[in-house]
Amino acid sequence: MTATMRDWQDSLRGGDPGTARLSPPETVIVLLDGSEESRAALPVAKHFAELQRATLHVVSTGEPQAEARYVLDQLRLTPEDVRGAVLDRLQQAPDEAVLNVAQTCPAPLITLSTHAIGEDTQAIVGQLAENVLTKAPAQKAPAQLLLVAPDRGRHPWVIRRIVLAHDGSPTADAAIAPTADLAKRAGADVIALHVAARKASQDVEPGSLPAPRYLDQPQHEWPSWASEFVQRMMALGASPAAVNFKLLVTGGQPGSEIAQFARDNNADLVVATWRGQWDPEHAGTLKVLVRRSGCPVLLITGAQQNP
Amino acid sequence: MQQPKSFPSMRDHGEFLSSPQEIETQVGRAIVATGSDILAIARRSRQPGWLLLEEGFALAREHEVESLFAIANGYVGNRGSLAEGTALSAPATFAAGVFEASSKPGTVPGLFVLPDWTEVRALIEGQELNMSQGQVLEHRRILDMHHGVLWREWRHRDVNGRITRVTAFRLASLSDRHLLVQSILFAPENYSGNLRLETSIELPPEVQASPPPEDWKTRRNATRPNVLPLALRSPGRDITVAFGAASQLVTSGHDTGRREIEIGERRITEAFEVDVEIAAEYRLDRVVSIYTSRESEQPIEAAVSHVNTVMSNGLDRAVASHINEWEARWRDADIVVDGDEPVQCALRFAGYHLISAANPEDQRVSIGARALTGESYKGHVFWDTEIYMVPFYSFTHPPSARALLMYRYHTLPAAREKARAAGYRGAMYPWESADTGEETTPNYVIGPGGEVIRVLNGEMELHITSDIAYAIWQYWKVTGDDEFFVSGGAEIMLETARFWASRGQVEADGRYHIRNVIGPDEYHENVDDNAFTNNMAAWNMRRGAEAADILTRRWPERWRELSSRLNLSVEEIAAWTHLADIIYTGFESKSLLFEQFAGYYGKEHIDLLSYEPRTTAMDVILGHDRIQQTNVVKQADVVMLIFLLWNDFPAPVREANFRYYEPRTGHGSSLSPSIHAAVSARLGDLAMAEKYLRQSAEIDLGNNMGNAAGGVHAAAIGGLWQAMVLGFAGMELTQEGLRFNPHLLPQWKRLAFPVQWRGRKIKVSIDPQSVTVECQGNEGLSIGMVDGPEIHVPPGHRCVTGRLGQTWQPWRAD
Repeated sequence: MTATMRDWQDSLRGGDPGTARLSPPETVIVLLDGSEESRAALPVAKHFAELQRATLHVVSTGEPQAEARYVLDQLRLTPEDVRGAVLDRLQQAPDEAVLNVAQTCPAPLITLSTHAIGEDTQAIVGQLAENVLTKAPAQKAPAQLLLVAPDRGRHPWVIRRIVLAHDGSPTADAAIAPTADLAKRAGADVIALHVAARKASQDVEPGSLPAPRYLDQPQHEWPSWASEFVQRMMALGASPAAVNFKLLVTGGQPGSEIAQFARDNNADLVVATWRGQWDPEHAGTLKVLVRRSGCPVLLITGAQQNP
Repeated sequence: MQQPKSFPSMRDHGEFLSSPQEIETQVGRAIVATGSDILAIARRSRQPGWLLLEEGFALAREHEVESLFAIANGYVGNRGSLAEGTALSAPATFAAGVFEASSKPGTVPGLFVLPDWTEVRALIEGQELNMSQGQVLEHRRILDMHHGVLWREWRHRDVNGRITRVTAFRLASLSDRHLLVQSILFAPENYSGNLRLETSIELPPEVQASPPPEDWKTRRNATRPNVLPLALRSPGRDITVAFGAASQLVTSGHDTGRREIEIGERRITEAFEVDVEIAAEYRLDRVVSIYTSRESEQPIEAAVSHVNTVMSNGLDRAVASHINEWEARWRDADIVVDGDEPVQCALRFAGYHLISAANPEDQRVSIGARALTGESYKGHVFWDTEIYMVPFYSFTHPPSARALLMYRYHTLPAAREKARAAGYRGAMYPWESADTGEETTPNYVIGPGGEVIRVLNGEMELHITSDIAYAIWQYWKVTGDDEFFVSGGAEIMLETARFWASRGQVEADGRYHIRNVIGPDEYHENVDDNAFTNNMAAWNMRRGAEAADILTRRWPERWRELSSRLNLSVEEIAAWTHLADIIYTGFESKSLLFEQFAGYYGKEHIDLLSYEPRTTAMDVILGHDRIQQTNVVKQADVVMLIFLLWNDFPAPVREANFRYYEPRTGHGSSLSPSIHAAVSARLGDLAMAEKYLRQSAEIDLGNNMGNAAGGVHAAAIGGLWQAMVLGFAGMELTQEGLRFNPHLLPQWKRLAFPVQWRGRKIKVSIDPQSVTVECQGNEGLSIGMVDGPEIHVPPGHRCVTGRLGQTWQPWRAD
């Protein structure tokens, strides 16, 4: 290799994947409850379904035999709003309904507004989203959840810039292939953002590549580290798609740094790996991302690789 | 295992193989031979305590494992990648001193990655045997550090249920440095069928081939283990690198098999096909020789002839010779720590890679920051070599140390030119160097936030010049190698002293100041009067004057020649001593502290403990600009000064400075923990010494964080050796020999190591109650305890002293 200073930008041009990849969503499910807040998720879900050529399912709860026009009225939707979509009406609690639909559809992605209804407005997500996030792993339903803040309104959603939160762990690699695939479909750029945590977790996942502990000579260490990071990403999950990809590192608290970065850089989507736990002791970074990123957050379930 | 029969005679190898001017294919009966079991020869010597084991397979760790398990001999190095490759394999072979360069602006030369010679594809009934298909039943890589052999043991069930056992080893011969050997045994456990093995070496498209001479002879006999030639030119340097390669299949089965070879200018291939039987064994032996135009006028002929010779003499002899050489080197280098397995393992790992890194036969190469184990740092040479690694070689294998220091002598013209170009006199060594000795530090780096950061080290990190002088002086004191001193070392001492005398200025305060530098603490750039830089400059100027005095008295003819050629006057030499006397040192007698640089005390204080636990360097957390405004020290700086010039400072000064700077040091460099271990051990602070020792031992071995992916940290492992010998054993040089001041960790039952001093081989054994020293050689030496008794140990004798409270009993013959 010619000894040039590497630019950190590179293209993910595939190669031989070392691990199984997550299938792209074939079903995009969005749960609506008739509120304006819940409808914020619809443009996001529709666009996502279009990009992935997935089937859009609009799920609501109530009398299953209700006429479609009645349901649309109740959800305050027009036929145009749901063109090409399947309406699912279940007489269950909303969280149970959406998870049931997810279990019966191929490769589902659930889209949820994080709004609260008459609840604690300081909560990170509303009770409905909380229930889905809490129950989803146990039901092994969705591998992907797309959380949408209610204040985004109903304006159309376009993906031009994706921020991929990557902590350097093999688990986080699970998000790479879906992100690259999505970016290719949307024609979007991907910025992989690694935050060197101010305080480290005591349990470092084997095979992890956090920002270096030793930077003997930064002029060599950073290019080497970046190259290693990108090569691992490619080998462990990158899509064959050619994607404009950039790797950046910053220091601080991962959640707030990534959220701030997403806002400052007008990100349209933040992608992060979710280890399947949403109780008060876990997912601290994700909770900050959901609350502060200012754009939808796609959570991709990542099982730890190479245990 | 069935015992193979003996090899048929293979003496007729005098002719070269086919003309590689055009691709030629030969098909014939395979070399299906039976012969001595070189695997058994190599494996017999494996011993517990010397094996580094990677059990299983984790793709994400592959680059780290490749670095840790690299094989090398100072001439050539090869990463421990898997022969059949994986999604993340980065097979790489490096030849010391072979760099490539680009004319693209902003680029610097880098160690050239040679074509992969280790690739072997195995196809069973047409289906490739690899880790990504079927099921891995067992897999381990074992580095036999005692003998420099990389092993692989693998049992694999393919998608059709066929189970194959693979046992392989690889070595870079330490006794014959151009020689690389690879042997892979395939054992079909539950099937019979067709096995095809393909090996090849191919030039990458961007590399220019170097065809052999036109009178290259052709031989069309495909039934012999003919040697296949391949050669290339390194881009931008035009160094020819030639391979000679030959393979043979050794089998306990009945099929004679088929062999195909293809020879082209850009690719050589050997393939074997054989119908394998259940429970039989099939071993592919590969012999590869590498020669370059750096050491041979006809590298292709040399490589081919070399392989022919090795094959004629028998591979078993080549393997045995390599093993014997490693055992001999370890007899002079192995540190034994009874009662601390992790540290013992780390020390063997350190010794293995240090022995692997140096070539005493080549004075025009040095050791890069990652040695020959990885592409990181581009093979560039830093102060790492002289300050961290040379002590190991000086005390265990002086010819290697001498060769490394002669690299600095041969690159002295470039150092002079660098000084001249910057407006100074003498020799100013580059912060980074490659093959020519010119400055190769990149001018900028893309920072972690995507920002362009200017790299100032090449202009400002000057202390490497005195570091080189320090290593030369120490080598000379350890070895008594007057010939080296007179022929090369002294000239460097003089030229480096001259540089320091021109670099600073006597200012209004009457002191000599050196401004605009970077010290070992690289978090603070463009500082004035860095204590390490100034004090080492003073040391360098004093030793330069001393060198002149010694030459005048002992080698007047050489002095006349040198002083005339360098235009050195008595007045100039006297000025060096004067400047050393008036240099600003940063020392304050009231606090006993050296201020690390002018203005250091005014920097923002950062409580480093509040950032623990931490897996990231502080400059990443705080940022490049912010860290410069703080008092966080990157690595041993004043502490390094104390370590190197230990006996120049009173004990209270040593203690005060260590206690002040240690809590302010972030250890953002792998070079830092070992020196802190050594100094805290010397100070008797064993808890702290242990903490830093273990941190140092774990830099390559103890991490899951990719630290070693680009190669092993050669300076850190050199520092680990120093922490043990110069720290915990407290070994110091005296005029007539050595003395010790041991501080063992409580759990250590014994610390034992060999060292060499002026031709004597000395064995040192320290336990909690006694110190035993044995001297071998033609002369004895003086052995003492710091602030304790001394004795002259005659050659062939052993002496012991025992603890007596806080001091030591008189020595007695053992």
